[in-house]
Amino acid sequence: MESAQDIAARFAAKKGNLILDMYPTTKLMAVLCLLLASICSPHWCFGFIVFAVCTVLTAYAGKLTEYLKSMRIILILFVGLLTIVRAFFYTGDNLHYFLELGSLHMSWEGVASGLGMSSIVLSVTSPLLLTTKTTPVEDIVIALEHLGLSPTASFLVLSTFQMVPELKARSAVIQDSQKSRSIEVEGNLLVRAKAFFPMITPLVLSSFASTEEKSVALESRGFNYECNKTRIRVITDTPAQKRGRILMGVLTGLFCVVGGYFKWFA
Amino acid sequence: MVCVELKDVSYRYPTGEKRALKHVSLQVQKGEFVAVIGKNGAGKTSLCNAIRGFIPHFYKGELSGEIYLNGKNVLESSISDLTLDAGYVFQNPFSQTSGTKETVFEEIGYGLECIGMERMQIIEKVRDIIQALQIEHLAYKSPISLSGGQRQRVSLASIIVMEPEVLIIDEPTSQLDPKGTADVFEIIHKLKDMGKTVILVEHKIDLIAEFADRVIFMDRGKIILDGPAREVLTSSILEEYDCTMPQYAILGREMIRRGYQIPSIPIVLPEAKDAVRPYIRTEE
Repeated sequence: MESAQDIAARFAAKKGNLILDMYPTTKLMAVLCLLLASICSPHWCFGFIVFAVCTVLTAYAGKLTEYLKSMRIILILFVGLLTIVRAFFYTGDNLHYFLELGSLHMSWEGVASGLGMSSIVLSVTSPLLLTTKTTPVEDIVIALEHLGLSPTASFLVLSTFQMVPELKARSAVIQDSQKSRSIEVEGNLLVRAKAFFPMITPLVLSSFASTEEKSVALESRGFNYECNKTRIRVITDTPAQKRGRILMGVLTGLFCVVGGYFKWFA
Repeated sequence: MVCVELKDVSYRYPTGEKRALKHVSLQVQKGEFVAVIGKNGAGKTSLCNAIRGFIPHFYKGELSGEIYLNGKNVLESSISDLTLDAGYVFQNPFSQTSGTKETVFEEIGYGLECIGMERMQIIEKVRDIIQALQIEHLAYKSPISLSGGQRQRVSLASIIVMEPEVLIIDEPTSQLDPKGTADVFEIIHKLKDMGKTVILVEHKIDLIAEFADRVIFMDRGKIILDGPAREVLTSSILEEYDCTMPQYAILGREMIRRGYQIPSIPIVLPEAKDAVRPYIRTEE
């Protein structure tokens, strides 16, 4: 096995990629700043520019496929559907209609309003997805711990993320055992709907039962031991990133003031 | 040196009608390997929970008597206070992972992180235990991807790395296949070689016979037999309580019943071979 020093380096490894190595707080701050800026932006294209930039950055980080897979749902549901619904149901004076479907009318103003809302959604989801796809959850939690998050809260966040694949694995086992009891769990929508409760009830009950065992197991490993907890994995903040976050905050503030003036008052 | 001491301990679970432990008194010396056997509901797990302090601090209920772990009064200490005094490995391999670590290496080190050990020290200790238990191939795998046997080996490693004075292992192989069982007992074998103080609850009597120095037989919350492994595992009292003996002991007793002379009732394979060998006729 490799030496202790090599192992220590592995758990503090820099990957040599600006995005992958960026401190999680910097990425989270970017999400917050972009949200505020998109709200105050006078033009709907802001969020789409953010989406384009985040796509490029994710590609640079080598996580484009996973990013686009998640963005696909957001683009279709929130951007596409939201814009269409808004376009049809937008109300106001002197609207310019360009499409009629029965009693429904689509207006340019509605489209602009829908795109404006979609822009806000994209401004948040694009950098958030970029952050989650390029940052291990534990790194985000460690960064939050450095900001004062309690070990108990960080445990809750981390265990929630890991619970999903565990529940998925457990539900597969339950599915097989229900099949062996002649309960149909595969097929059309109606069959699956009928199988919902025979599937979900044992999943929930077994989760409750295992929670007690897990609690005792964690206690026995010192979960509530009173001391400052340490970690094998380390992440490093740099003075440059700290300055960058301050600059980000200042620029966002300026943008919000100027953009907000043009959006609401000019 | 006495590591574990129970004095007249009785206990009833909050929703229990009957007592799970009845007037239990015992001592475990440092370095002893003690096996606890008995039917389901005999009180074996309750005994382990009482030693570790889960009873009464976690499970509440009514407890009387005294329990000492490395000289500490368990009733006056919290579960966290006893973290380095006793390690506990549970039956279910799927509920012992922290659920917060991406690699087995970090999972094993989780307990040391919780007690605030310095980072490089954690890494060295975890590395050492991984090598000692020969689980290098699992080190960087995700804990979620492990089989039951692998998880149980990681759970054992996670507890051993904390170097507790006493290791309490509660039916570690009950949910495992034969390969998983063999893997876990390989580690238990190493624990014995390391001279660790171990309290092992198991139903696999033949494996207990190989490892245990001393066996405690329980039934309905009481200790019925407590003595050297050979004495307990060959006692006719086990039959009265409907408890299985090691298969080699059954062979030995049957041989005696049929009039064969054997030096002693065997409890492990080499002894059984020695007992049977004089009576095997080979064709010349």
